[in-house]
Amino acid sequence: MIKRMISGLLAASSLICFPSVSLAAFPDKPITIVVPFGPGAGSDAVTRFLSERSSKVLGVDIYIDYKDGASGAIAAGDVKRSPRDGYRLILNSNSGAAANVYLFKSLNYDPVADFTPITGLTRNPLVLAIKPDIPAKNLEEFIKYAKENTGKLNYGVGNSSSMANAALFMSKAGFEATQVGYKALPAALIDLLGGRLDFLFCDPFAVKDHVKAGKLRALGVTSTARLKSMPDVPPIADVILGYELVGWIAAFAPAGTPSEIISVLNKAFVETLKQKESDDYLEGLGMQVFPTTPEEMGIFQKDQIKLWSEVLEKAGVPRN
Amino acid sequence: MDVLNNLIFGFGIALSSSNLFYCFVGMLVGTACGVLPGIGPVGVIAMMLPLTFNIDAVGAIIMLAGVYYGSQFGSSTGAIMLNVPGEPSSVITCIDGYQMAKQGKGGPALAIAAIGSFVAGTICTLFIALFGPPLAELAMQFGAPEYFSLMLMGLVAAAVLVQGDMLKSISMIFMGLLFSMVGTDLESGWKRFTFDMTSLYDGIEFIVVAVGIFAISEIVKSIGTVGKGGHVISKLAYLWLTREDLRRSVGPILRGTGLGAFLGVLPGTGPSIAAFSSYMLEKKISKHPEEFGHGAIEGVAGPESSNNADAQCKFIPMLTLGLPASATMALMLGALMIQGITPGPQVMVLRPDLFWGLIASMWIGNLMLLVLNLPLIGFWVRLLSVPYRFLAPSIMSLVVIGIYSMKNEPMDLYLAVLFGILGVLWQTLDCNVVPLILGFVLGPMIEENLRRALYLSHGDFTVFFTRPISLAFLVTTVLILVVMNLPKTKRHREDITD
Repeated sequence: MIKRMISGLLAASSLICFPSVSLAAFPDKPITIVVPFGPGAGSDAVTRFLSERSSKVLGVDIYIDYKDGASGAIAAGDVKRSPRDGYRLILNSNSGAAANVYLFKSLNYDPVADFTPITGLTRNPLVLAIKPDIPAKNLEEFIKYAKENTGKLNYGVGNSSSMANAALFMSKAGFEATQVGYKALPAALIDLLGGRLDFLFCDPFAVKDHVKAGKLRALGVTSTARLKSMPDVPPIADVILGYELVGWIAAFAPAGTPSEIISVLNKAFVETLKQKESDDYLEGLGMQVFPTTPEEMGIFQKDQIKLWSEVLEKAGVPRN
Repeated sequence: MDVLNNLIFGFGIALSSSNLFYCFVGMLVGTACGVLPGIGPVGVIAMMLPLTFNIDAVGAIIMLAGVYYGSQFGSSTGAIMLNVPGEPSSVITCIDGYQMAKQGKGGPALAIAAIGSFVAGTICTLFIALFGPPLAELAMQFGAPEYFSLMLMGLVAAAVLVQGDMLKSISMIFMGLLFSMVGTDLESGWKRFTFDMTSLYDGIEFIVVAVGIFAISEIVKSIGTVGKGGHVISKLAYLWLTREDLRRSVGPILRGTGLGAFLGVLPGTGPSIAAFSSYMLEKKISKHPEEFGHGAIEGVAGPESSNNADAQCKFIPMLTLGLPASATMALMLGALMIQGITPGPQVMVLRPDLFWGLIASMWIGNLMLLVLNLPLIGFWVRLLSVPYRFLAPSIMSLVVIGIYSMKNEPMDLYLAVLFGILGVLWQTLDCNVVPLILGFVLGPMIEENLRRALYLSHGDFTVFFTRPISLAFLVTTVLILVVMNLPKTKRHREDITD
C-alpha cells in the first residue's frame, strides 16, 4: 500500500517537476498543422507534399487543419492559444508572418512574439509576364516601353506578393501604371491572356506553358537565382541591381514551446526538404526549398517584416 | 473522326475496374454530403484528398470529379424534399421543387431532376469533347465589361420578370445588394458593415442566406400551426412522371442545358447563376407563369439541367488552360499538383489519358447517378410521411450541423436564424425572395466587374458600348425594359398579379 503510494507520488512529482520527461518520446501522437489558407490553394500542394514526407521521417501522422479567412488572423489566433507541446503548429507565409504587421493596424497576434520559428520551408518567386503584343523582347526594352507609356499600362494583383512586387518594380524602374485588383491570381491571368492587362507578377507554374506557346512573354524572375523550371528567364536583379522580393512559407510553433521539441521538428522538416524528390517536386511548381535553422528563420522573419512594410508603404497600400 | 477515337480511348480508361470504382465511391460520398447544407464539394474533396495520394492521377481526378457532381445532385434532393439547399446551385430548386413535394409530387420532382441532369451531362460530355479547347480560348474574350453587362442584364430581367408589385421587387433586389456588400472591399481593403467583427470580414455566405430564407423560415412558419391545418403535406399524388410532366420538361431541360453550357464555359460566373438564368427564362416564356412558385415542374427541370451543364463545363478552362473557374476547380488543380502534374495547356497533350479518361468518366458518373437514384426516389418520398413535428427538429439539426461545419463560425448560425426570421417577415409582406437572392449573388460580381472595367479603361465609361459583346447585352437589357413596359405586356403582368 505504502509502496504504491510512494510510487504514485513519485509519478505525480515527476509529472510536475520534469515535464520534459515525455520529450524523449516526442512525437508520440499525430501532429496537426494549421494553415491560413483553404484547401486546394497553391500552397496546399506544397503543404500536403511536405507533411506527407515529414510524417514518414517523424513516424506519426500529420493532419492539416484549414483555417482560412480574415487574412490569416483566424489560423494565427488559433495556434497562438494552443498548448506549447509541439502537436499544433502553423504554416505561415510572408503575408501572415510578415506583411500583415503593416497591413493591419490592430492584429490579434504578434507574428514574432507569439510564435517560435521552426524552419523555412519554401521560397516562391514570381515571374514578370507581359502580353505578347507589347514590343519588348527583354526587361530593358519593357522598362523603356513602360516609361514611354507611363500611366497607360494596366497590371493585375491577386495577392500581397504580386502587389508588392509590382509596386517595388515600378518604383525602381521609374514608371507608373494602373493597378487592377483580383481575388486570386488565376482570374488576373485570364485577363492577361485576354490582352486586357499589360503585365502581371504571377506564379511560374501557371505561366510556364503559356510562355512556351507564345501567348505570354516572361521577362524576369523576382529571385536572384534562376528557376530550374524556366531557365531562360533571367532574374530582375540582372537589370535592376539588388532587386529581390520573394514570397515564402515557414513553420512555426506557439511561443514558449521547449527548444528540444523545436529541434526535433526542425531536423525532420529540414531532412524532408533536403530529399531530392522534394527539390524536384517543388522546382516543378516553380518553388525553391528553403531549409533554415530556427534562429536563421527568426532573423529572416524580422528582416522580411521590415522589407514588406517598406515596400507596401511605398506602394501606397492602405493600413486597416 | 479524331474526337470519336479520343472518346473511345477515354472510355477505355474510365471503364477500367479501378476507375469505375473510384468514380462510384466519389459519387456516392458526394451525393451523401450534398444533402448537408454547408458541407460542399470543397470540404468533401479536401477531406478525400489524402485518399488520392496512393492512387494514380487519373483515378484521383475521376474520384474527385465524382464527388463534385454527386454533391450537386445530392443537394437537389435536399432542396426538393426538405427545402434545404445543400449547395448554392440548388437554391432555386427549393422554390418549385419543395412546393411539388408538398403537393405530393416529390417523386416526379426528384425524377425530373435526375433525368434533366443526366441529359445535360450527356450533351455536355459531347460538347466538351468536341469544342472544349477552342471554347476556352473564346471565353478569354470575356473581360470585365462583358461580365458587367451580362450581370446587369440578369439583374434587370429579374426585376421586371418577377410577378407582383414592381416596387417590392426592386426593393428586394436592393436589399439583396446591401447584404452582399458586407465584408472587405476588394480594391481598397476597407471593411463594410462589419461592425468590427472579424467573422464578417469575408462577408455573408450565400448558403447561409439561402438556408435561412428557405429551410429555417419554413420551420418558423410551421410553429403553432402543425396539426391544425397550417402546415399540410399532401398524400403522395403519384410517384412517377406522367406523360404531361415529361412533355412540359423537354423544352426546359434542353434550354437549361444550353444556358448552363454557355455560362459554364465563362470562368467568371458563379455556380448558382446558370440555375437562376434558366428559372427566369422558363418563367418568362411559360404559357402559365402563375404556376411558378407553386410547384411548376419546369422550375425544377430547367435549373437542375442548367446547373449540371454549368458544373461540367466548368472543367473546360481547368483542363484546357490550367485555370480554375471556381474554388472546387482550384482544389482539383491542387490535387493534380499533389500528383506532380503541373496544370496548364500542356496537360491535354502530355496526359491524354487524364483528359479523355475524365471526360468519359463524367458521362459514366451521370449514368450511375441516374441508375442509383431513380430507385431511391421511393425511399426519399416516404421521408415526407414522417410527421412534421418530428421532421422539423431533424431538419433544424441537419441545417445547424451543416452550417456550423462550414467554417466553425457561430456567427453563421446567428445569421441563418436572422434570415429565417426575415424570410417569414418577407413572406407575410408578400415580398418575393427571388429578386433578393439574385441581388445578393449578382451584386458583388456587378460591382467587381464594373470597377475592374473602369480601371482597365482608365475611367472611360464608353468601354461598355464599344465592345461588341458588352454592347449586345446592354441592348438586350434595354429591349427587356421596353418590352415589359409596353401597354400590352403591362396589362398581362397586372393580370398575373391579380
